[in-house]
Parts: sequence; C-alpha cells; structure tokens
Amino acid sequence: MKKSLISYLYVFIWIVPFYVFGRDFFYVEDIIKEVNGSTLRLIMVSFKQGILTALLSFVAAILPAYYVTYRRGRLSTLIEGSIFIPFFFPVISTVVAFSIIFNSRLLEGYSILYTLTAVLIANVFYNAPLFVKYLSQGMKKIPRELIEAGRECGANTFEIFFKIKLPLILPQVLRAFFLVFVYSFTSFGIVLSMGGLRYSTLEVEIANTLMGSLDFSRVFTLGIIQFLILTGINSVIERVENYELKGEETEGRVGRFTTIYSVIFLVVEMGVVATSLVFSFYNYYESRFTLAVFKRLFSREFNRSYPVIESIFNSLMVSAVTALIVVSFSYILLKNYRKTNSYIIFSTFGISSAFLAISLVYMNILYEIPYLLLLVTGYFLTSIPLAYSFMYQYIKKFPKDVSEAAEVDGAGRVQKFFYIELPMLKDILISTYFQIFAIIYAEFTITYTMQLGREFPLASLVNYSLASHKLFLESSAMSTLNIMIIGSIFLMANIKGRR
Amino acid sequence: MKKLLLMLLFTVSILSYGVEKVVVYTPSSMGGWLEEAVAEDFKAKTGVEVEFVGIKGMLTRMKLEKRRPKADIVLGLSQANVMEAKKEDLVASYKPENADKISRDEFIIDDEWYTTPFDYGSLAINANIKGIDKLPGSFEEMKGLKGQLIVPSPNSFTGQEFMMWTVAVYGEKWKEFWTELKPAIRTVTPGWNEAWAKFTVGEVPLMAGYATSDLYFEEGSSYKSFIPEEGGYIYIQGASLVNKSEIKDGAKLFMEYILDDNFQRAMAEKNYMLPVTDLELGDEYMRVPTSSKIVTVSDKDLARVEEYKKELIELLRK
Repeated sequence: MKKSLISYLYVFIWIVPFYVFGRDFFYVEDIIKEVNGSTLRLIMVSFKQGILTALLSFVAAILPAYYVTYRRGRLSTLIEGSIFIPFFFPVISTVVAFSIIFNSRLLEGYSILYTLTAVLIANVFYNAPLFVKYLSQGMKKIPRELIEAGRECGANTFEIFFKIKLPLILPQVLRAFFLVFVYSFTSFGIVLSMGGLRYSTLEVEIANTLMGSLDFSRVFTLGIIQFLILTGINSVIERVENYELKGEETEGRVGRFTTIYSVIFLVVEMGVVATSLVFSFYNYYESRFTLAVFKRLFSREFNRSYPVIESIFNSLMVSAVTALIVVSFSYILLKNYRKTNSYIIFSTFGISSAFLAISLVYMNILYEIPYLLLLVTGYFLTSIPLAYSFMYQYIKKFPKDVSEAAEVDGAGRVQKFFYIELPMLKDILISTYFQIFAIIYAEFTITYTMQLGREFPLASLVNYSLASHKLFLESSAMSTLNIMIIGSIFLMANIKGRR
Repeated sequence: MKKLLLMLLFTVSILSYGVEKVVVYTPSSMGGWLEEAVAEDFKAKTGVEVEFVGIKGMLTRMKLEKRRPKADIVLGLSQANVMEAKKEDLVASYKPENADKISRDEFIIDDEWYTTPFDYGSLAINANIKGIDKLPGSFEEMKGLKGQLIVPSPNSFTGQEFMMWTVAVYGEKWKEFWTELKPAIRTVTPGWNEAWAKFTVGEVPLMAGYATSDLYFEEGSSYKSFIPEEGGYIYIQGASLVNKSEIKDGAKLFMEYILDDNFQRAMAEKNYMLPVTDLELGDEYMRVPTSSKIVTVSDKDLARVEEYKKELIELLRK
C-alpha cells in the first residue's frame, strides 16, 4: 500500500482537472448520444492510421534493423542515430519539411498533400526509427547457437528471421508496435496540417470540437473512448512476458540488397531533416541562399508579431524545470516499484493531451492557478510514462546486494542515495533528463490547445504560427534553431547514455 | 449628457483607483495588429488601458469562462453566435450612446443590443486566375471543379458563415449541394488563416473567403474575387459586453469606441472589412466585388447553426 502511494498521487494529479471539468460540463446521458456512427467512423480512422503506420514502419525498419544488428561502422551509427527523430525532431519541422517536399515541382503533380498517403508517409518517417531500435536491440540479444542450430537444420535467412528471430523478439516488436500505434492513433500536428478534416483522429476531433463547438460532453466522451481503447491494448501488451535473452553482440554477413536499402532508409530519414535545415538558408521564391531569414527572426519588428526569442527562452525554462521534476518523480516511482504502478503509469498513455490541456485551462479560469504552473503540470503528467520506461530497467535492476551492504554498514536512506545510488545511476538520470527536456521542448498538442500564444509564447506554437501563415523560410529557420538546441541536448544525452 | 456623466464617473474612479484596464477577446486573426492600431488612441481618448487577446473558438472560451469571465468584451460574434451566446447567458445587453452613427438599420443584428455591429463584409470566392482555366461564375459551376477549392472548417467563423451562405442559397437542399461540391474541395483547413496561406502560395486557385480580400493585392494582379450569381451573403461582426456581475465603465467606453472613426478605419484598412458608419473610404474599395442580389437566412436556420455544423463536418469527413 505504502509503495503504491506515489502512483496514487500521480493518478490524483491526473484526476483533479478532469473531475473539475467533468463536474461542470459532462452529462452521463450524453455518452449514449455520442456513441453513434460518426464516433465509430472516427475510431475507425484513428485505428486505420495507427495500424497502417505501425505495419508500414515495421516493414520499413526490418532491413535497417538487420544491418544495425550485424554490422558495425558509420552507416550503423547513423541509422541508430535516426532514433532522435521520433522523440526530438519537432512535429512542426516535419510538417514544414513535408509541405515543401510535396509542393516541390517534382511531386506537385501527384497531389499527395491532404491525403491518407501524406499522413502515412509522415507517420512512417517519424516512427520507423523506433522499430529499428527495438528490433535491433532484440536481435542483438539472440544467442548465436540458436541461429546456428537453425542453419544446421537447413533453414535459410528468411526462415531463420521469421521462424526463429521474430518469435524470440516478439515482446520487443509488440512494445514498439504499441508505441507507434499510440503515437499514430493520437497523431495531432501531422493530421491537422497534412491530412485535413477527412483524416481527423480522435485527438484532432477532440481539439477541433473544443475550439469550434460548445459540445463539451462530446469531448469528454471521445476522451473516455480513446482512453479505454489504448488502455485496453496496453494491458494486453503488458501481459506478454519478456524472454531473458543473453546473447552477445556479434558481427555477421549482410547482403547487398540489405545494405543498399539501409542506405536509402538513412537518406530518406535524414533527407527530410536536411530539407528543413536547407530551407532555412535557401530562399525558395528567389532561388538563392541567404542568411537574411535568421537576421529577420531575431529582429525586433518580427518579434513583435512572432515572439521567437521570448518563446525559445520560455520553452528552455519550462523544459529545464519540468524535466527535473519528471526525472525525480519517476525515480521515486521506480524505487517504490509494484506491478500495479506500471499498469497505472502506462495506462496514462491513452489519455488525450488536448483534453488534458483544456481541463488545465479551466483550472486557471476557476482557481486562477497560473498558466505556467498548469503548463508544467501538463508536461509533467504526459512525460512521466516516457521517463519511467527510459529508467525502468536501470533502477529496477539496481544490484540489491550493494544496497544491502550499505545498510549493513549503517547507511541511512539519504546517505545511501547520495553515496551509492546517485554515483551509480548518475548517467542514466542525466540522460533521461536531457531526453525529457527535448521532448517537452518540442511538445505541440498541449501547447496548441492551451492557446497561450500571447500570454506565454512557446517555441513549438510560434513555429506552428509561422508555418500556418506559410512563412516557410522563417519557419524552417526556427526549426533549424530548435533542431540545433534539441540536437545538442540529444548528443549530450547520448554521450551520457553510452557511458 | 449621459455619455458626459459616464465619462465624469469614470474619471473619478480612475483618480481613486488608478488606471482601469479592459480585456478584449478578439478572433485570433485580429490579435496583434488591433493592439497597434487602437490601444494607444483609446487610452488617449478615455484614459483606459486595453488588452487584446486573440482567441481561437470564441464561444467555447466564453462558455468555459461562464462562471468566472476574464474578458470584458468579445469582438467578432456573428448573428448566429450572438443567438447562442444569449441562450447560454454569456453576453450582456448594452446600447452605445453613439449607436446612431450606425449607417443602416440592417446592420443591427440584435434588437435587444446584446451585440453592437462594428464591421461587415460580403463573403466571396477568392480566385487566382493564373491557376484555373475558366473561372466559375456560380455555385452550380463550382460543382464541376476537381480539388481546386479550399474551405475553412465549419467550426471556424469563416467556415460557418460560408456554410450559412449555402443554406441561404439552397434552403433545405444545402446538404445536397455540399455533397456535389465535395470533389471540388482540396482540403478543409482549421480556419481562415491556414486557408489563406495555402491559397496565396498557390496550392489551390480558389478559396471560400471575403470579397474585401482583393484589397490585399495590387490592382491588375491575378487575384480576383467573385460573388456567385446565386446571390451575395453579407455577414456582420458584432462586439458584446461579457455578462459579468460587475461591468467596467471602461468596457462601456470601449463599446462606444468601436463606432469611433479610428476603430472603423482600422477595421477597413487592417481587417479588410467595411465600416458600419458613414466613414469615407478610398477609391480602392471600388474594386471590392458586390452583388445586386443578397441572400439571407431565417432565424430558424440561425438557431440550428450548431446542428448544421455537425452535419456538414460529418458529410465532409465521409
């Protein structure tokens, strides 16, 4: 019971804003009214995007994951490095880059924008690196003797992959599948800008209803439906037990096709990032390179309409503070680990960020709680599951004998933390801190829905504002700044993580 | 005389408590420039500070704030919005002392003065003739287009008014029209801003927008709006006092100020809308397309706007 208190506190922080909002705007009888064909269609669209993205990302990632598993070298390092995309490459930068690509003379005739294809391409770009990471990590741990036994029985490469490796790494595949499914099911920025009304997911519908209709009961109902669906799927995935694989990393042969495909994969992934970078120096309309856009981005005149400098400063501050709270809280959660804690923490993946955001706005209206505090609360609640999963195996598997030895020597809880745990876990704590910092810096759904544009401008919203006014050059330049900030943070996290 | 008393009362209150500040919620497209155009002038004339806050989804925010309103005034309500806001008890009635400056009775969209008109305009189809072989002249001809039109979502102000325009033209058969128009629609954007951005960078040659948008371009450019021959649709934007237990005197002064020449000029020059007073405009306004035939919607249809929005969104999503 005592160990669960901390997770109950976490749930309590979630529940308060929803309770206050629901108390004033939700009527139970509306649930029945809202369970209709229209809602069902929304669920189907969200499901379709989630499943297709997960399947396509999986297929796109198999060969690069295979390459990364069995080859060392620059190409492997670069492919592994693409994992920064799903976590740290801002969604608005993705939207701007794809808008430029799809509107280019080469692709203009295909009318890709505002189709399901556009949404899926952007989603797969975003999520395939996640599969590469999970698949390669899994395959690296498969004992060599199992593969050799398969070969001796006459199995070819495909049979070995599908009949031996895939079943063994299924838990990792399912976890990646769930993550990608959740990201796409709740996809917001990409669907909003590149899909349009026809491809609205539940999350987009929740945000649109909040902004254009007085039907708060519908919002509440949609939020509940989304939560139930994602929590249901999560609880199924949570039941799949991990195999204890203890294989050593080994190098092996990789076919030419796999190598060529892996190069193409890397070029596509990095190409989109590069498009965003190049177009901050290249004037699309005048066909020339220039640094003028950066100058304009920092000009007083431009900042009066689009507070670029203020927003970057605000985002840095909010991310720095919130990430510290998130890491500390996740550490305490993991120190008090119970299976129920994990269920509770991961079930919050399914809660609509847009809905949370509007409930927080309502808390400001009713109780004058400062927006800054509410914003930090919103980011805190949505980042905890991520920090929890990043730190999970390190803290849960912390050697008990070391801890017990310290206790025998008379160390108290504080001494144990500062002299034993902190030095040993320092790198993973710092690495998680930087990762959460970067995720919060790039967050868009809560920021967009809370509409703090003038009161407390944040980098992702100002960048969206630039993009939606088709100030592509300025938006790309701001994306570059954000990528530089986030990129350097990612590098720091990566260096710490490796240590 | 009443106005003088109000001013006097207000001056006394300022001397006693310091400078008063009124908070005005505006549509998100107005937020930035409106402050530059009128805040100083309003303060110079009344001593009251004004803060403008751009809001996406005005009625939603008003409903959220019903128990503890933060704004004193909201700008940009349509006739349908006012009906909804009255029903929800979100706005207060106030007739400005200078209401006689309103040049035409048709502009007064609420007889009980729950809203005061501050600008008006005609909806139109904005066109870039470079991107299309033959401009359609009517809604009927627009049905034959293929992915060349952008419309703002019915959840936005412009999208809602565009929908009501088609209700005014087609009556009960308005949904049939939209079903046939669907192939012509490239995408539905969250609001006017996004639609305008996509239209002006050449993603599509047509968008549902405003007749006065032609003023944004130089004469002789390839951009030229038109009003379909079925008839034009005038929409009027109103300003309302938020229904609060204590309505600030400064807020009432602002309601007077919206009919002031400076505010009216700002609406014409920066918001590309037409003034509701007799303010003289430059020759360039002659370029704005007009229609001799004006269509309107009934009060019954206005009362069903939320229902229509849902139906249209559902239709567009299929």
